[in-house]
Amino acid sequence: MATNTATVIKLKVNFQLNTPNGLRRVIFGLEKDATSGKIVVWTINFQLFERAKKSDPFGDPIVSLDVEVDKALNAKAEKAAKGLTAGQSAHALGPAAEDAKAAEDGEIDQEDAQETIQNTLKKK
Amino acid sequence: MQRRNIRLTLRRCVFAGEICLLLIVISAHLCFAQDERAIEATELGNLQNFYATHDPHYARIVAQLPALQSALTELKSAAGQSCSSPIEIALRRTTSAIQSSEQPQYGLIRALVTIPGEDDENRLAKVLACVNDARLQALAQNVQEEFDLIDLVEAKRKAKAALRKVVEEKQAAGSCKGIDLEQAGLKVRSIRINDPFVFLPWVKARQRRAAEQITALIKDKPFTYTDASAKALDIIENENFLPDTSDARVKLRVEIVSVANCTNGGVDLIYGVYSTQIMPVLSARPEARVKERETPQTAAGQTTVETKDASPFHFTPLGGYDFTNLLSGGGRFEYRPRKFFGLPLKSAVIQGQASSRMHNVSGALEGAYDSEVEAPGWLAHASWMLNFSHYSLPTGAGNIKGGHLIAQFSGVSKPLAGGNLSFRFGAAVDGGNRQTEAGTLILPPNTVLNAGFGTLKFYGAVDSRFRRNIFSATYALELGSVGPAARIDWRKHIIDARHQFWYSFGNHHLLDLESHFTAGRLQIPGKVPLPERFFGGNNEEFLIASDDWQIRANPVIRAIPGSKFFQTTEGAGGKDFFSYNFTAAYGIWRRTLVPEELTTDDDFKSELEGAITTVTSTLQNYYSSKDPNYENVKSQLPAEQTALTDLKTVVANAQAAHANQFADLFKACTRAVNLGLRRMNDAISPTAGDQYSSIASVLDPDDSDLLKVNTACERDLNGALQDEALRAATARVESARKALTAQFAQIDQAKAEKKANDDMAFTRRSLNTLFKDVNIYSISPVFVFDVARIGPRSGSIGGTRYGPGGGIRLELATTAHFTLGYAVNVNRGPGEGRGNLFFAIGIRDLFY
Repeated sequence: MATNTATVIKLKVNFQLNTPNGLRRVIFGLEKDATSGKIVVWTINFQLFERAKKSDPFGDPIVSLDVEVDKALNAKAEKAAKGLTAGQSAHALGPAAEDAKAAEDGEIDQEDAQETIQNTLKKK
Repeated sequence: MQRRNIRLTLRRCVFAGEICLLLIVISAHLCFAQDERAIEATELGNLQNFYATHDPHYARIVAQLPALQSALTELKSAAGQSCSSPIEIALRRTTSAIQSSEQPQYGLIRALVTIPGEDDENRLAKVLACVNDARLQALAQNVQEEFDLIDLVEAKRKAKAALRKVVEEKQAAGSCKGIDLEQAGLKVRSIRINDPFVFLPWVKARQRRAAEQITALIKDKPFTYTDASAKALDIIENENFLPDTSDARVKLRVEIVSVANCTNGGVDLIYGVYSTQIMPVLSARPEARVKERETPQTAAGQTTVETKDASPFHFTPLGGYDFTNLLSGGGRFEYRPRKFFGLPLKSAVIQGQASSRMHNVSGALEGAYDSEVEAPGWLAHASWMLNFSHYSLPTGAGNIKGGHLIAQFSGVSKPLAGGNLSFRFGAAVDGGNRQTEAGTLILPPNTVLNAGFGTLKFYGAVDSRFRRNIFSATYALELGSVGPAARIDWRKHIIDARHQFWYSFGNHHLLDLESHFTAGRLQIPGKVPLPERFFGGNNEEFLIASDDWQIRANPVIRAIPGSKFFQTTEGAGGKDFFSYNFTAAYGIWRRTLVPEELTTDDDFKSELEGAITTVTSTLQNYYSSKDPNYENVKSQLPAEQTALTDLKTVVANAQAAHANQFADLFKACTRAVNLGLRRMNDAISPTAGDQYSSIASVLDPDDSDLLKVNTACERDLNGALQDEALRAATARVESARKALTAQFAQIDQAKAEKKANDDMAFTRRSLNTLFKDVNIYSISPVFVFDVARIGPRSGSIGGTRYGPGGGIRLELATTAHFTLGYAVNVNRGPGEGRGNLFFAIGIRDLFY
């Protein structure tokens, strides 16, 4: 079978954010999907990990949420893909993590948590 | 015969029509600056319409068009003014359809019939809604029924096949560029997961599991972006190709989905996983750079992962040859469990290499500490070791030997000086014996052949790593005694400096230039064992036993085998020396760690930088949280929490007093207060997030949930309500927010940002090297040039030697790395050979 140069259809880089106490970790993944010939769709893969002690490994994520980014925020998503700013990092490790867990515990609606996660992109 | 000709002509016409259509489609593609995929979708629609006109039911519609035209013409003259417009439009469409062919005709006929969900044309129905005519009714019904019977599925299938043909012809054979694979109806022919470290068993196990799941999900099935990209990537992520490591590293995971060989209705899917974990400070050492080249899997943190698939046992065979040592073999065995029996140790190592003339064996217990990237203090890394070693090295005139136990400690600072320098420091104490098989060796003054001894060693270094350079300079002092511990019988000073430069010509054809300068001086107020004097040659001796900090302590010249460079005017072994070793290598054949199409991909490059930028941003927040003003902010948070709680009560009271009034405004205000209160509670006592992050977000002066409290409660609700209690309560919240925000703004963000950037400077540079310069295989011709001097000298006894030479270096991360070369001893002294054939090999860890 003849092989030719492969064409990249998706590239995904996960941004890893650790809390200073080493007990929590957020994986903020940004995916751009323009492959099906439709309008560009950005998706945030948000995962929150917790561990009791620093010597323990992080297991499976306690929360894992996929958020399809509002098209109005596409430009901000494009920019965030080049790296989160300090404000965005703070939002992801702060309100986004809090709301993701609150939604998992049933304290708030999942839509609210998704909106908070998406708001990470709006931060300076 | 005539009928056959007609049929042939018709077939040619149809074929010519198809060709024209395809040319039009391609021309349209070239002429209009539309998105390629959008064009293809349009092409597919056009082609589908074209093939629909080949359907027998379509032909029956065309056959009825004249009758339809006639019926509409009659109606036009008979109908009144009110129905003239729909009849005229329907007639115009019908007449145009009669006069045209292929897709234009199809479009016009489609405009006559009823299409579900489309009401803008629907011309015959619109006429029949206006007039009641039995003939037209019957014709319209016939046309509609025939139209509904056209096999659009078959037309679409033919269109896809034709489109594939066009796409394949107009592109390089098999290229998938610009094809909407889902729309083109391609099937997944094969899947493959590429990980450059797949030769490591734990990676291979994960790769196999992921490949099996993805194969079951998509192989031999129609390609869909959802399954091939999103679901398959989920499978890969669940397998976790980036487990935690036993040392602190900055992690980076890149996943890529590629397609290739879009031929014969099939497509091959390739998943790329590029995981890297970089030691933030230790990557600045020259030893780390050598590892990047020889074993990139170690530099990328793939050999210290803590996973069940990874073996705690490691074995690396070693080998070498030179004219004096002869052929030597050995290995390094390491046991590195996840927990070392509760002791502050990480591994136990036994290492040895021996030939018929030499041996060098050691056993060690090693421990290490890594501070987290986000951790206070200046110490980034510390290590300790208890090591016993025994060696015997041939000089050609007798062997120098020794056995000793050494306890050593070393530490590495976080990056300093704008992220451009880091310091290493350490101390060691050892004791044992030094022995000499004297042979024809002449014993210098103040020197003993055999003795028990003890030493105390202190050493320090500065390291720096730039984009293409690493500098390192070490100074070491050894204080030794063959008598009472308090007495100093000798002092040894060592300076060991290294510089490495690399530059990639073209794509990953790496030019590596390495310089190594070492100098030493021995002061002997008492007595010194002969092996402690300086013996030079191809054998390398180190001051301490550490792979991570190799302080060379003898003159090295590859042109002189073994330890044969030792004769001075005083006798065997120098009192001072220097050596300079230059090695140049150019990679003529290589395979890149990261495929070329990625390293040249702009998105890949920017997202790679983005990952480090994100870690730096998190680190900036950490340093901001160490600012004294942050503590002031924290202390004021309860005041805002109280103000919000009070406001909540005031709003509740106000709502009770205004039942059934401004319900929406009350709801919005209550919601804002509750959200603000929740954010404030999280800021004071975070449950899932980080405290600084929660505080920074709630005090964002531009986009804070607290700002919404004032908007919803004061501006909106109280704008309608005009309640003084509510105004006062909201004002307290706003006032406290402003005070907190002002206090928060006092935090020196610029300083925190600089510190974070400094800390991550080495990481950023190392990452660039790993992704842009490192090869998984490479073969390089090597040029070497050594200069070494030993003293004291007189005539050809002692003095300076030069050793130019050349050879070849193979670095195969999957298998082994070795260097084979020959260097000429240009200015040889008595007993020294003309030159030396040197060969060293390191096999990949057999258990990993």
